[in-house]
Amino acid sequence: MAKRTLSLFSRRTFTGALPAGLAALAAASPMWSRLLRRATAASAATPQRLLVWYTADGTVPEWFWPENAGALSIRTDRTEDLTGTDFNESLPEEDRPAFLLQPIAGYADRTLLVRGLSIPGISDHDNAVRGTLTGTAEEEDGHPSLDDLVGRAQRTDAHVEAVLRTGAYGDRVSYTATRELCRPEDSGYVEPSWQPVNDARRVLDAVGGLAIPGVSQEIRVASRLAALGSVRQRVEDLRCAAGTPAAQRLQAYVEEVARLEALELDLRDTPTEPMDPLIDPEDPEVGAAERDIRSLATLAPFVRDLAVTSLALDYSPVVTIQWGASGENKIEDGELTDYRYEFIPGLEYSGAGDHGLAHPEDGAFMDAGHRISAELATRDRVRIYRWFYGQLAALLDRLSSVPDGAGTLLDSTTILCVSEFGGPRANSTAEQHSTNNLPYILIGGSQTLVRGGRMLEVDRPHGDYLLTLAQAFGSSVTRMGVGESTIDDLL
Amino acid sequence: MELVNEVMGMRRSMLSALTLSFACYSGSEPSGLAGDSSGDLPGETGTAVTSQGGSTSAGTEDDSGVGSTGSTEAGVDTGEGDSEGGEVDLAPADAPFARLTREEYRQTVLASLGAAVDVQAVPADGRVGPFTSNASQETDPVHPFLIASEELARGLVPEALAACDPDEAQACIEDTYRGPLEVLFRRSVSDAEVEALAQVVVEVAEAGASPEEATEAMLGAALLSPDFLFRTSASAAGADPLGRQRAEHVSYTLWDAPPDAELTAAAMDALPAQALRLSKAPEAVAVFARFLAQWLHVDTDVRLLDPGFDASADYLELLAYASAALQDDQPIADFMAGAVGLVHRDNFEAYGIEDDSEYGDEPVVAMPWTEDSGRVGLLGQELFASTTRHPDASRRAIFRGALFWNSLVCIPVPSPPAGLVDMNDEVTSRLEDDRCSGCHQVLEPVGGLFAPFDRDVALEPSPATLSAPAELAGTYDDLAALLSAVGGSRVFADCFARHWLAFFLERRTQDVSDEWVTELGAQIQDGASLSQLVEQTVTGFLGRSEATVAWCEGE
Repeated sequence: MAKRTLSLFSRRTFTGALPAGLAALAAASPMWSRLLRRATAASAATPQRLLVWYTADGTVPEWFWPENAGALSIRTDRTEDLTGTDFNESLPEEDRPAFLLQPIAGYADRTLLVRGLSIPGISDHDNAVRGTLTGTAEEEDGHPSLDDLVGRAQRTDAHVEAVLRTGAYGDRVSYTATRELCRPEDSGYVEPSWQPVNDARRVLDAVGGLAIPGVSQEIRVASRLAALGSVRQRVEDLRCAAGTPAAQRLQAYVEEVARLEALELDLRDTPTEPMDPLIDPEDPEVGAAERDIRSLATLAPFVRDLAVTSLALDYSPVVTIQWGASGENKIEDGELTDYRYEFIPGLEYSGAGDHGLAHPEDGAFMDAGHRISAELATRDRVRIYRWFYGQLAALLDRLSSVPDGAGTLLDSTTILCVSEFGGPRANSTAEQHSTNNLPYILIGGSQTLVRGGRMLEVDRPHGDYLLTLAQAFGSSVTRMGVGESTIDDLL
Repeated sequence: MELVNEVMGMRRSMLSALTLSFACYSGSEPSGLAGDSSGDLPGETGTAVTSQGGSTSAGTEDDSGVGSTGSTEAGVDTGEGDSEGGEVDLAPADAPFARLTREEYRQTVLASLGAAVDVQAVPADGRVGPFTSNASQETDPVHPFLIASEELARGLVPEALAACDPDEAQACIEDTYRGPLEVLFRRSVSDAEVEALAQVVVEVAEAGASPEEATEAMLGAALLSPDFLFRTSASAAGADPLGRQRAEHVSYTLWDAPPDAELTAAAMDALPAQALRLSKAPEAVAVFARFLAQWLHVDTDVRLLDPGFDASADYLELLAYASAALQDDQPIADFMAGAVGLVHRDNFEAYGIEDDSEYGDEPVVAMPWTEDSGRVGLLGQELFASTTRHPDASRRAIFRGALFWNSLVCIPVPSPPAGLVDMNDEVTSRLEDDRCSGCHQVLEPVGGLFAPFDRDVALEPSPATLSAPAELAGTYDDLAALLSAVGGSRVFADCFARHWLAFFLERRTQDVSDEWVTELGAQIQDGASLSQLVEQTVTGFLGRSEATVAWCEGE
């Protein structure tokens, strides 16, 4: 089988000469030459982008929140070595606030924390997850999630989709309802494919095509248009009676076919430039990592770069990354077997996963020989969340390295970190499902509405927060779930 | 009349038990069926009952839909003939119009084109209830299939299938591709279709493509066609489209594969015999293994994503069990009370077998369950014991009890309300606290009977007393006594039949016909085996399809 190479043909048009500094960068990095050309496009408006970053099962509040509201600074001098088994006790209490956030300390001036957001009346995984981006408190109909609202508000003709949703391993570690973070308008809740490699293939294919050696772009487009047209004609020829299962299913199918035809027509009509993307979906190591839940460390950089690629190449104005899901313990033969975080140095209970660690059983597991004490759970969760914030920092660094307009991609991107639980205290059985003090984080660049370097103290439902963001991004909604008013001073 | 009264009596007692179960957590509003607003049995949501620590499930999953757009609603949207309360007259036209699953896709490509497919490139499958199915998905992700079809075509042309000269495209397709396409589409291919595909070759060639490239485009179009990707084919083509659709449904259900030549040539009234043949073939083993596992809420399709599970002792035992059940015409009742297990050599220790000298060299051996082991039937297999073997031994009875009530007798016990879960640190005894005891006194005595399965702790099971369903009311000293009673009971027979029909028809359990459940339940109680059940199911499938109207007019 002919292996695809990843010569990406651009959909964009070069509009002018590059400024000297940017030209040097282009020469050093042909990868981004196409993007740099936008810097000279006088008519190019700065798009607003949103990246939603979801991690499951909340946080360790005592190690997450800064001590006081007001100006935000995140220390960089605390230990990076979390391999010990007593750091949770030996680390002075005054060193614990914002400990988890240390990896993103360099972006503190772009970071906005808001303490006091809550999902009222909810205390289980399902509804909490479904409410996290929709603003709902109980499962209700007709409340699209924030990523959908923003995606539809910010989508232009240049974009392929409103939202790219991707994620890792969620379907392997928890049940359906805990994976349903997002809700498009006029649809039920959805989850990503959990196949970031396939997501990458369709992103790259859509924005410029995955070229085949020896096959010209023109032939590729002609072949695809002929095939898609044939399929569309075939559905028409079937003449399925309205209301039948076949008609309903095939109508949706042919709409997708038509969308892909439109993409191909757009490709056909735009000049192309070869370039190398950040990601290689043909990398066998990544493919193997997608299957093996022990390989998050290998898969995570790919997922990050997929998100950046999607934003940079205007596949979508919004990307939602779901780093797994929680609500279920994977059990085999008396052991917990969620080994996603096994690679983290010093991890003491590698099979517990987000869920097992968030529900230490006050000694019961210890009596059964499984040793998940509250202290152990705290240490492991600190390690895990620190790792995720390290990934976030890497993402921010990447966004900062991608030229966009007169600055970088980060400048016009807002990152929203979310999770479904909060609580005043972690790892107490009474607080396991607390939806108070949700650990939402906003990080935004100079061309976004985020006024970073702050922590606010509020007492508001999460829906108000999401409504504020939705309206700021151009959505016309006046309510998001339980959110009926915006939060002054948020943006 | 007596049988009818008996059935109605059982239904009333089941309903009473259901009513009781909805309110078994006192001090809270009846939460309905656990974890799912669509009304599935709790086991179908993969959410077992919990006492604390949030929702936990014994390593199972079932999703209503997975994919880039996904769908949350379990069950099948049948368009016309939406079901309510299980009172559905089933007909092949009401069988789901579903996208091929990954395995069906792989096997169909293999059968038609002789090509091996990496199904990682294909979107993951959804679930209807606990069973693998794409029937409930609202949309299908075309783009990944487009990319996959192009790659597949490039790998086949011209190495395996000749490239077509555009000037002779129609003849080329006729000579080289019609046969494979007819297997791919599971029906005859019309001249008009050949002409349409030839037109693809011509069109692409006119754009400057080589014959290879143009032929690849044609084959790619066929691999993206709804005639391939969906089943049952919507086309009205051929002398007997209804018969073709039924044969296809039976073949995919039993083999994950398109009909073979013998099934394709068989007359409609021979379909039950053909189904029997299929059920006895090696190709059916993996499918029935999946059915048994997913019925008991072990999602082997997810487990098979883990490297090495396909060669694991637990999975090989399951395959051997399914094979034996099919080949030996083991009564379905024996799934409960059977005295023989299938044990892999790597699992001897798990089963407490110390001396393996008498068991020869076979990797999996059949051996009687000993009284000491406490094991019995299918549930005695280590796969099921393992996935309900919670690290906290005091909790295992919860999951095993839930498995009993949800999967064996179809009397669901809901998960506790979330507010109650958060109060769990106030609960010193689940069996005594008024807020929990109503459900846990139902769950845990039964679940506790499974304790001998665990070698890591020495928990002595206490006798379990059931007050419902009436047929099983009584006190049981051990699991063997309970499952023996279950295996011979009508409530089990109907519950198994309901799950089986849900699997066969790709519907939620509550959407299958009660009347059909009753019919098959009677046969199970009379000693039917899986293969016999298959044959009877297909007979019923034919008998209920006489009023079919084709969905589509085109050929």
